[in-house]
Formats: sequence, C-alpha cells, structure tokens
Amino acid sequence: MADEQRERVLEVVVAVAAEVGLAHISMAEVAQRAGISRATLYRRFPGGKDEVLVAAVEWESVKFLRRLHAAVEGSADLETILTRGLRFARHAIDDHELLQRFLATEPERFLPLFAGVDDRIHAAITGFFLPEVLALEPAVDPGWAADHLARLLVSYIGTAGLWDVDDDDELRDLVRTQFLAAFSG
Amino acid sequence: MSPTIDLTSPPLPDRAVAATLRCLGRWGWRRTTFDDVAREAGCSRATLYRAYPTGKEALLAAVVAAEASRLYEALEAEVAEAPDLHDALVGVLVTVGHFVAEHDALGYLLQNEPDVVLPHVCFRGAEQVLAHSAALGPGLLARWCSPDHAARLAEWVGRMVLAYGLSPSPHVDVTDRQSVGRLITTFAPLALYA
Repeated sequence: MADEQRERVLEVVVAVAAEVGLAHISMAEVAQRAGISRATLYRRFPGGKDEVLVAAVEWESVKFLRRLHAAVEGSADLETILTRGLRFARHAIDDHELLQRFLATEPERFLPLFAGVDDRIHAAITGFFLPEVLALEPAVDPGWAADHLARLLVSYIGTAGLWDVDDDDELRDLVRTQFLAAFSG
Repeated sequence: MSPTIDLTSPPLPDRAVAATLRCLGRWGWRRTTFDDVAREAGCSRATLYRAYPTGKEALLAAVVAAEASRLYEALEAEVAEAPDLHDALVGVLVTVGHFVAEHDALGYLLQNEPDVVLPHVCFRGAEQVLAHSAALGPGLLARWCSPDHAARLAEWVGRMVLAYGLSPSPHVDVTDRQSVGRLITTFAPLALYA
C-alpha cells in the first residue's frame, strides 16, 4: 500500500474514532470510508483494530511533534527551546480536543494505545536534544542527558504540577532549575 | 457462655487491606471479586460489606490509603537518618523505587491490566500523584529547605519516580542507591534550592 493510502486510512481512523469512540470503531467502516476492501485493510494491518489504532495514535503523535518542532525552530539556545517548547506543548495538549476527550471518556482504552508508541516518542525527543546537549559539553554521558531532558519534558507537558508555565518568571525558573541545573556548572 | 475474642487476629481493616492486596497480586482487579476478598480475609461477605458498603471500589480506596501511609512511614525513617539534602533525596527516591518494584499488586496490574493504573499516572492523571509528592516535601525536607523549595523538590522526585519507574532507562535504576546518587548529583537542582 502506498504511503498516501496508509495516511488516508489513518485519517479515516481518527475521524471515525472521533465520531464513535475507540470502543466502537469498526474495521468495516474504516475500510469503506477509506475506499478500500476489508481484505486490503487487513493485509496492511494484520493486527486488525489494535494495530490500526496504535498506528493512528503514532501518526497523530508525529504530527504533534512536528508542530512542537516548528514552535521551537530558530531558538538561540537550549533554554529558549525549552521555554518555548514547554509553553507551546502544555497548551497544545490542553487544547487538543480529541486527546482530551479520549483521556476523559476512554482513558482505559486510549492510554494503553499511547503506551505502545511512548518509546518512539521518547526516542524522537531524545534525538532532537542530543546535538543541543553535545554542544554544551556536559559532565555526564550526553546520551543520558538528552534522555533525561526528554523524560522531564514529557512529564511537564503532561502536567505542569506546581508550575505556572504562563508566568514568564516562573517558566524561566522552571527551565533553569529543573532542566538546566546540570548544565550550569 | 461468654463470647470469645480472638486477640491474635488483626482488626478487620488490616485484614481486608492485606487480603485485597493478595488478591490483586494474584488475579488483578477485574477478576478479583468481593467474595474472594472476604474469603481471603477470613470473614463473611456481610461483615465485609458493612465495613465497605460500596464494595470493591471502597476496598481499593482503603488499600491505596494504607499503602500510602506505609510508604510515608518508610520515607520518614529514611530521611531521619540522612545527613544532608542530597542523601535525603537519594533515600526518598530509592525507597519509593523499591516500594514500587517489590509491590506484587502494582506489578501485576502494570503488567496485565495497565488500563487500571495508567489513568492515574499519565497526562493530567499524574496531577494527584505529583500533588501528594509535593505535599510531603515540606514535612520531609524541612531540615534543609524552605517549604516552597521542599514542595518543588518533592514534586521533582515524584516526576523522577514516574519518568524512570514506568519506562525503564539504561542510565538509571531507581532501586539502586549508587545509580540514584548519580541522578541526584547530576540533575537535581540542589545548589539552587538548599
């Protein structure tokens, strides 16, 4: 199946899931609306509904990461990347209507799907941080430093906890203390 | 005939919590029935219902509360021995790391019924866990930092537990004192907070 057709399928999966929820999405409807046969759909996604849903979550995650990447593009340094990225992503997650709906109504179905792509999201963010970290010549293994930054970023994007990322001073403090303490010596 | 009181048997709430934990560790959440817990606790279904009128949900709430205070006691003991903030944080993180790693019920659920646990540790769901961590900070770390800094540091520790505990890392083992020591030395914002 060409990439275009795969994208078409995933687009349909997201649209159908938005209409009927994760529990009631059917492969027959996805195939029909994507304009392909069920046999073709199953050939492409032999794992059926689970596989197609994980692929759709991954696809949406990649789109999200691209937006995040665009939001930090042109930043002069790591501090600016983190400051811009945190504020953008925190709001983008809260404003993501479909994500919020799944988290509110079907967390028990959505989160295990998300856990299936978690590793790849983490690897992508770590890969993004690595050259930034290398440039700072940290005292520790740069691979670990990048991995650590990725874990922290995902944690604060998920929930800001005590920190108000809309307050400029607090956001700067957050980035300097929680993220960059290891690089300031 | 005078009624006999068995002084060797622990009170019902303790037995119910222990019984629920054993059932969860063996069969998970969905397959554990109220009857299983009653049998495991050595009491009748009616007795258990009087103490936990909303059933399984009430048992789970009791388990979470009991386990949280058991963990808190372990943390207090750990921090009481610590000579400085660095060692206190290492102690806290390793204690939580062991607590989670050795928790049969939690382990079973994470492995077999992640949908039961994940809503409480992902995205906004983590808010409550982090708020609890932050709330413990001022009490546990009062010897070394201000209440605000203690709360932020404790929240940071909570994030580390979730971030490194849920998806294993080749760089950090949260049950190993040396490994956690490196994490704290390298990444904890100690100099800024002490």
